[in-house]
Amino acid sequence: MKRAKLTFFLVMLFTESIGAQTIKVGAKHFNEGYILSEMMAQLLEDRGFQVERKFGLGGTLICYEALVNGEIDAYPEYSGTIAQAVLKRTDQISFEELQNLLAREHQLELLESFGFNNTYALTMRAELAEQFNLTTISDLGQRRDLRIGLSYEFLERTDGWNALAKAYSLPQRPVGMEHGLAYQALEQNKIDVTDAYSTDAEILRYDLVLLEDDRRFFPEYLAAPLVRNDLDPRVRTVLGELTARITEPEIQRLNAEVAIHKKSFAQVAHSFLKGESLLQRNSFVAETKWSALGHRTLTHIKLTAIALVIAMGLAIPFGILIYRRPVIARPVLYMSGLLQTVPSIALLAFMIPLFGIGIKPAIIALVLYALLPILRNTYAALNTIDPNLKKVSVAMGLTVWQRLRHIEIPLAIPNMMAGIRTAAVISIGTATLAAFIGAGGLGEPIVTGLALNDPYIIMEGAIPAALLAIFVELGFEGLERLLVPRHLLQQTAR
Amino acid sequence: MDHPIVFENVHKSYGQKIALRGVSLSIQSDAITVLIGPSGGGKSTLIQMVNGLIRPDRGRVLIFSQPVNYDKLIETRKRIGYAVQGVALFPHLTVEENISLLARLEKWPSQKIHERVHELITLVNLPAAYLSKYPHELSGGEQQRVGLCRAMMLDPKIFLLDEPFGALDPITRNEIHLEFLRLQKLAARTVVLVTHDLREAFRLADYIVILNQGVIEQIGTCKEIIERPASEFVEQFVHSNLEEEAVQKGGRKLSFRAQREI
Repeated sequence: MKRAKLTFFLVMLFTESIGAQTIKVGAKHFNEGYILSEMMAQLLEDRGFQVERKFGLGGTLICYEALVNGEIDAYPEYSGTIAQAVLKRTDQISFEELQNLLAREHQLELLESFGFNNTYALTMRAELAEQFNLTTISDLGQRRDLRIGLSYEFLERTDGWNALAKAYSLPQRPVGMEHGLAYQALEQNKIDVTDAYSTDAEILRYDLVLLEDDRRFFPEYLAAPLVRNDLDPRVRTVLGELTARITEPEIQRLNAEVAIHKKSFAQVAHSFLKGESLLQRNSFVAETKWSALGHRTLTHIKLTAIALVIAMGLAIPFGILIYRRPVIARPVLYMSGLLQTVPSIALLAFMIPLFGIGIKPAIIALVLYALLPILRNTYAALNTIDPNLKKVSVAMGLTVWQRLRHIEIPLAIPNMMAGIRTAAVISIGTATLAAFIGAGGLGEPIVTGLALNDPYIIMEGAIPAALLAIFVELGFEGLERLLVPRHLLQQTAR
Repeated sequence: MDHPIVFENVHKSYGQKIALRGVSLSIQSDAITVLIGPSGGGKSTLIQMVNGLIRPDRGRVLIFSQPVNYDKLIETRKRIGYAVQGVALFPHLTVEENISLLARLEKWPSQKIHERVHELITLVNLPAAYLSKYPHELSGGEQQRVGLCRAMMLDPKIFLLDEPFGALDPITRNEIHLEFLRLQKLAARTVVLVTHDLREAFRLADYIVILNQGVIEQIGTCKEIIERPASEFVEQFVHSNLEEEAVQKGGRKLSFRAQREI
C-alpha cells in the first residue's frame, strides 16, 4: 500500500513535468527582458493559451540554447544580439536578412519588432541639448568643450568610443567612470555627455535626451519575439499584435515603472496591454506572490525528490557493493568525493553542453551531489555494525544475501537514513542554483534578485528554501521514528 | 561411534604469529569438551575451524567423518549451533524473531516454527511473554538463554560455545551452568566450549583440552588433569588458577580484618 502510494506520487511528479502542450515563455535576465516576456505571456493567456513562465534563465546564450532545444518556445530577443553574440556575425546585417537566416538555417522565427531599438546611445541633459541646439552625434563634433564621461566598458570595447570618435571625428577626450554613477554626474552637472542604453529608465527620470546616431554607427538592437517555427501558427498571430506597439520613450517609461516605482513586471505588463486595448477578456489575474511561491516550492520539491530517489537508487546499491568488495571502496569513495568538490555553479555549467538546460541537467547535477553522503553513510553504516553480530550471522549459516537482507541492512538503516537526510538538505540548497540553468524552483527569485540587485526578491526564494530545508529535516526525523525501533536509534551516535 | 569432529595436524598462523602448530584432536561424541589455556594459546582459532570461520593453513578438519567443504560452508554451519561471548542477539529482532530466524529462512511451516520456539523457551525456563520483547529489555542471563535457544533451533548435533558465559556475573553464570548441564542431560549433544575460566571448565567438562602456544599440553577428564598433569605447564596452569581464586578470597578476609583493627 505504501509502495503503491509512493509510485503514484513519483508518476505524478514525472507526468507533471512532461505536462500538456503549453507555451513556455522564457525571459532574459534584466528588467526589460522580464517586462517583455510578461507581456507575451499575458497576451497569450488572454487568447486562451496555457503559458508556462520559464523566467530567470540567465543570459543570451542560455535563453537561445533553451529555445533551440525546446525547453522554451518563445522569448524576446534583440536583433543585434542575435547577429553578434549568437551567430557571431561581424558585418552589419539587416533585420530582414536576419529573419531569413534564422528561418532558413535555425528553424527559428524572429517576429516583427516591438518597435523600439535598445542600442548604445549618447545622452545628455535635455536643457543643455536645447541650449546648444544638439540633436545628433554629428553635432557633438562642434562642441569641443563638452565634458564626456563614459562607462569603462564602452571605453574599452572595440566598437566603443575609439571607433565612434573616428566615425564621427569627435575631438573630445572622455573620462572613464562607473556607469551607475554617470547619471548622477550628469544631473549634478559634473559631465555633459555619457553613454547609455537607449531604453534606460534613467533617461526619463533625469530628463535626458538621446543624440541621434545619424551615421548609423551603432548596430540595431531591435527587440522582437523569437519563437520556434514548430509552434501553433496562432501563437505567432497573437504575438504579432505586439508589433510596433512600443516606442523608445514608452519602454523607458515601463522600465522606470519597475526600476523606480517598484511595480511588479506582471503589473507593468498588464497595465500596458490594457492601455493598448489588447486584452479581450480582462479576466487576467497576475500570478500572486503566494501562488507563485506555491508553484516554485512544488517545482523545488519535485527537483529534490526526483534527484534524491535516483541518488538513493544508485548510492545504496553501490554502498553495499563497496562494503562487500572493500578493494574498490577507496576509489569509489574518492570519485564521489571528487564530484563533491566541484563548485555547484561550475557543475551546473558543465551540464549545459552535455544535457542542455532545464530540469534534466539540474536533476543530474543534484544526483551527483547527493551521491556522496548516501554512499559514504551506507558504507560506514554497514562497516560499523557490531562485528560479533556479523560473525554470529555468518556462523549460523546465513548466505550473503540473507545476511544483508535480514541483519546488515536493517541494522544499518539508522545511519543510512542520516546520509539520506544530509543529501536531502544539501539538495534543497543546491536546487536553488538550478534556476541558473532554467530548472525553476525557489532559486528563480534568487537568480532574478541577483540580476536586478534586489535583496527583497532574493529573500522570496531564500526564506522558503531555508524553511523547506527545516521541514525536510523534521520530516526525516519523523520518518526515522517510524521506521527504526527506538532502542536502535539510541545506539547510533548523532 | 565415530568422532563427530576431528582435527588432523592443523596449522594456522597470522602473519608472523603462529596460532596452531600441528594440532590433532578427536572430539568425543555427545560429550562436553572444553578448550582452555592462556590467551593466544590457540583455543579460539581451533573452535572457529569447526564451522569454517577460520581455515587451516595446513591439515584438515573433518565433521562427521567428512572433510569440511569450504565451498559449501552454509550447509555445514546450519548443522552446527554457535554461541559467542556477549550473546550477540540481533538487536532489531524480537526474541521470537531471533530464535526463529534460521527456521524461517529454511522455510519451515509457521506452525512448526511456533511449536519449536515455544518448546525451546520453555526448556530454558523463560516465560512465553518474553518472545515479543527486544533483546535490550532482557537481563544478561536471560539473553544468554535466548542465545542458546537460537543456537538450538534447528536441533544441531554439534554445539560450539566460544566463551559464551564470560560476561555474566558469578551468580547468573552459576545458574546458566546448571541450566546448561540440565539441557545436556535431556538431550546430549557434542559440545565444544572455549573458556579461560578453569572453574567453569571443571564444572562443565567431560573432557578438558589444555592448549598452550599452539600445541595441546594435555587431554583428559577433570580428574586426570588435576591428579596427573602431563607437563609442568599444566601443573602450573591449574595451580595458579586455583590459587588465584584462593588469594582473591583470602585477600578479602585480610582486608576485612584490617578494617576491624583500625
